[in-house]
Amino acid sequence: MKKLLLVLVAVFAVSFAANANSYTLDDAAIDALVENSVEVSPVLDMANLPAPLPANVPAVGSPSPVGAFLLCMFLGEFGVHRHYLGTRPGMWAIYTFTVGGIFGIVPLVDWVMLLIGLVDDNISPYVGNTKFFMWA
Amino acid sequence: MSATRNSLCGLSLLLLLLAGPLCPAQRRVSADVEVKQALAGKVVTVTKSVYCSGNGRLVIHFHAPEEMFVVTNPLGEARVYFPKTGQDDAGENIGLSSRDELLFLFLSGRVDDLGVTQDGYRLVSTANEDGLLKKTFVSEKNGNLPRVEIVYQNYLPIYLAYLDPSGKAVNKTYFSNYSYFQRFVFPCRVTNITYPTPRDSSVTRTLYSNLKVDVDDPLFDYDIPAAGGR
Repeated sequence: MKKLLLVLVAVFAVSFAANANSYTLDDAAIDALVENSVEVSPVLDMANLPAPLPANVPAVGSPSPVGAFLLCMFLGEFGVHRHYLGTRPGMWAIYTFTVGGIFGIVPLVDWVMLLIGLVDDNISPYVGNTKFFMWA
Repeated sequence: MSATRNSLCGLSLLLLLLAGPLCPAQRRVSADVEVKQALAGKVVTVTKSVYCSGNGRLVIHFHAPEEMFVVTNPLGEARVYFPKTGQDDAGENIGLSSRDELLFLFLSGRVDDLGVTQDGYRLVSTANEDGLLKKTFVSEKNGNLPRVEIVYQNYLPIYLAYLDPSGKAVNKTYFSNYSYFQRFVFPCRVTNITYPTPRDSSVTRTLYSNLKVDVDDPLFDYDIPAAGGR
């Protein structure tokens, strides 16, 4: 409970520190946020995913647009959605190449593309895709 | 007096940064990196060592959560190797270039645009904002993220943001704790905040430590064993 409170305080502090008019961050608030969070593994483990998943997400091997979209939203920086969709081993590590795939922009574009795929109900171009830029 | 000192400091840094691309000698920089991504009360940690050569060759040795090597170059000819299993995932070109590594960006003096022009953005304005230099880049190709802003303090980038079509920053990166080396400066602390939705955000803190310039280490020349070591 205490940890949860600390995390909430840290999240609030980060939100406040990173307001639109500021170009610097409160490093102490970031450190508090990181240090008061519960450590989990980035290696794909569907049973222990920290993000909530809908009950109808299928097992790995038959990826659903909703599952891929949610994984990208919650764990995109570590490329977990790519492993869910099927890709080469170690893609999670490649996503950490800089800070979440080139300033975190790769998972963000992935997310947009998966959103389009979700609307169109077609994510087949991204299933089994072994390229770093899955949309290219 | 203080203003003069600041000006001299800024001028020195400018010369330092301008000299970077003129001195593309085979510089070698290594660093230990800890990446922590926090999201919804959970945090993921990745530790790695990065070995970056001036010619663009990059070796990344991941320590945790799984040991692996990535060897790549500016052309994106990357190979991934898992020592534990001997698995070599070379295969096709996966499009991962050493130019995407922050250490290489700074080593090659690309602080003026942090590599965004390579992604199709072009500089459209430069403005002075409370003593800070703000550059704005736009892209006609990338409709989802049409604008990038980079803010400099004393000629060093401190902030980078990708903006959506409405002008809202959906991805912010903050650079701080700069280390100074001969002809080379580097931010040892990089914090990235992504807003995939208006209500959610993830924070990625990257700490660089043990930065070594022009030292000998066999990992600079590391080659993945033939046939993946099998």
